[in-house]
Parts: sequence; structure tokens; C-alpha cells
Amino acid sequence: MPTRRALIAAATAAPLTLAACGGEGEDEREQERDAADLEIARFLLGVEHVEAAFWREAESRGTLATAGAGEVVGAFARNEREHVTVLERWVRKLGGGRPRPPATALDAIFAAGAEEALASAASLENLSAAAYLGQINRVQDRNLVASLLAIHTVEGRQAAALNRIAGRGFSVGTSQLEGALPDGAFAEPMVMGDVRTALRRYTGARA
Amino acid sequence: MSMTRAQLIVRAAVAGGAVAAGPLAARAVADIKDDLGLLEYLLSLEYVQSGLYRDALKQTSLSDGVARLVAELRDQEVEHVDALRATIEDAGGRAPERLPLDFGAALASESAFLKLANTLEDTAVSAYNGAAPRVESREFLAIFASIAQVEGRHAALVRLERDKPPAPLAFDKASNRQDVRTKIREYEQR
Repeated sequence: MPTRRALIAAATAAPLTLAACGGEGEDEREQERDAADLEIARFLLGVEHVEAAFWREAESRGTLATAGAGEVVGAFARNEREHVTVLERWVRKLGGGRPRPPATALDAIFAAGAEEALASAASLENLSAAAYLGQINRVQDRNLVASLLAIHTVEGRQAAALNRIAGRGFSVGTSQLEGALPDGAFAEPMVMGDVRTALRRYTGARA
Repeated sequence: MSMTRAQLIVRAAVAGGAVAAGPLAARAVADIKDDLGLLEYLLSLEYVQSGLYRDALKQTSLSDGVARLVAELRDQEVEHVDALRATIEDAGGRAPERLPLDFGAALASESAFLKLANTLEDTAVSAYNGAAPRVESREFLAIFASIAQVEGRHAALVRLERDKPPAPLAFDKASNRQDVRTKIREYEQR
């Protein structure tokens, strides 16, 4: 199963990386750790930008209200805006500039109707939760780990709620991006490449 | 019961590290022992959660929809218990015994039960989010994060049943061991 292999690889990669640079100076090691964390923070910020754009559209169009999700739209939009703010701070702290939000292509999703838009929202939140889980144990800075965890479980909450409201049931079993609960008691991570591929549905980016 | 996913992850990661990392593996073993205290206290919390769902299914009059949800949550919490017990034993520790539980008036009605389930699920999220950044082992961090997300999903589903906001805060809280123990102690019969 690719996702489990990815988790094992992620879990073992970090200590080996540290061992490989054991002969270098502390400053250089810190720079390497910051660079690795910066890549992760930028990546997750990109995911958050797409989510924030999605919920901004959902708020302004009001589409999801007719699918039974009207009560959560405002809160989820606010949550994603706050996630963007915190990740932007982390990117700056780690020495990065302010990345430009990725382009999004959401018109077709909302034009397909309330039910389809809700299903897309539910999948996007599952994707985000899996994206965080794929990165958390690669992070070196303990404070960044704590920040990502605090966001990650909120993404899980939002995913479960939306999948439930969408009537998808607990674990669908056909796709990691569908269902309120994972197929089993452990959430599955996704690696960066798989997340970027799945995000194309929302950004319109080509392979 | 078959080996859980978490057991597979831990065993594969520990085995892989021992082969590839040499002296690093020895350090990992020491770190794992330091992490055992966290695992043991999280297991105590999982005992209480799985016990609540087990007892509610036996003693509380639940609507069909809530009963289906509770059965699902019970099964997942039992898996967490099994995984944490196995992980503690794999790391050379001894899993704490399961204490008798008494949830009292919380099992008298569906609404009272859901209120306590809501509290315990939110507590579980904060417990894992508090423990995970403190573990030395990357393997345990991966497992804690994976379970934390599932506890967050449980919390949201229980909150929906109560007509409460499923994700009321943009950032979930992190709790320390003392805070969590205080919340579960009243249900444990010592």
C-alpha cells in the first residue's frame, strides 16, 4: 500500500539525514534543517491558499447552504484564513519570502451545483488532512511540529463534518479522499507529489 | 485480532532503522524508553474512550444513527488501544492494566452520553497534540499524529450529533498529561 510505505519512508528519512551530516558544523546543520522545514511550510501554505480560496468562493456564492453546509461555511472560511496567516509567519521566520498564492479554477466546481461543490469541499479537506500528516514527522523544529498538529486536527474535523453532511458515510473505501473516517483507525498520509496531483482539480494546473 | 497498521508501521520502521542506522538504532532505543511514559498515559485515555462507547452501546438508549456512529467509534478506539499496547510491549515496556470504569449519569440518556463523548474526544485531540511534539521517536510522532487526526474526526462527528460546531477553533489545543489525567480520573475506579 503506497501510503503506508510513504509513512514508513517519512519516519525513517529524517534521522538518516541527520546522521549523514554529522561531521558538519552546527550552523550548517541548522541551516539545512531550516531549509527542509521551509520547503514543508511553503508546501502546506500552498494547500492552505487553495482551501482559503475555495471557502472564500463558498462564502460569496452561498452555494453550499442548499446542500446543508450553510452553518459551517463561515467558520471553515475563517479557520483557513487563520491557517494561511500562521503559515505565512512560519515561512518568513524560516527565511522565505511571501509566496504568491497559486491560481485556482473553482468556477466549474461551483457551477456543477451544491451537491457537487459539497463533495469537492469534503475531498479537499480530506486532501489537506492527508497532506499535513505526510509532512509532520519530517519537520525538525518542534514548535513548527506543534503548529502543524494544531492545524492538522482541525483539517481532520472539517473533513469528517463535510463528508458526513455530504452523506458519504464513515469510510467509503474506494478513495482516500472520500469518507468521514479512514478505512481503519489510523489516518493515512499523502506525499507531496500525490497532493499536488490531487490539487489540480482545484487549481486547474496541468501535469 | 490481526496486527494493526500502527504495529506494522512501528515494526517496519524499527527494523529498518536497526539495519540501516547502526549506532543510531541504539539511540532510538533509548529515546523509545523515554517515550514510554507518554504512550502509557495515552493508553489510559484510550481505555476510557473505548470503555465509554462499549458501555453506552449496552446501557444507553441510543437512536439508530447514534448507535451506528458509536459502534464505529468504539471499534476505532479499540484499535487504538491494541496498537498502543502492542507498541509499548514492542518497545520493551509493560502496558498499564485497564481499570474498571464508571460513567454514572452520563449513560442515563443519549444527550448526556454525547456530551461526555464530546468532552473526551476533544480531550483526546488535545492530549495527542500535546504529546506528539515531545516524543523523540519519529515513528511514534507519525503514529500520534495519525491517531490525533482520527480523534479530531471523531470529535467533529459527535459534535454534529449535538448540533455543535464541528471545528470551533482554527487551532486545536494541546494539553499536558496532568490536565488529561484530571479529566479521566473521575471515571476510573481505583
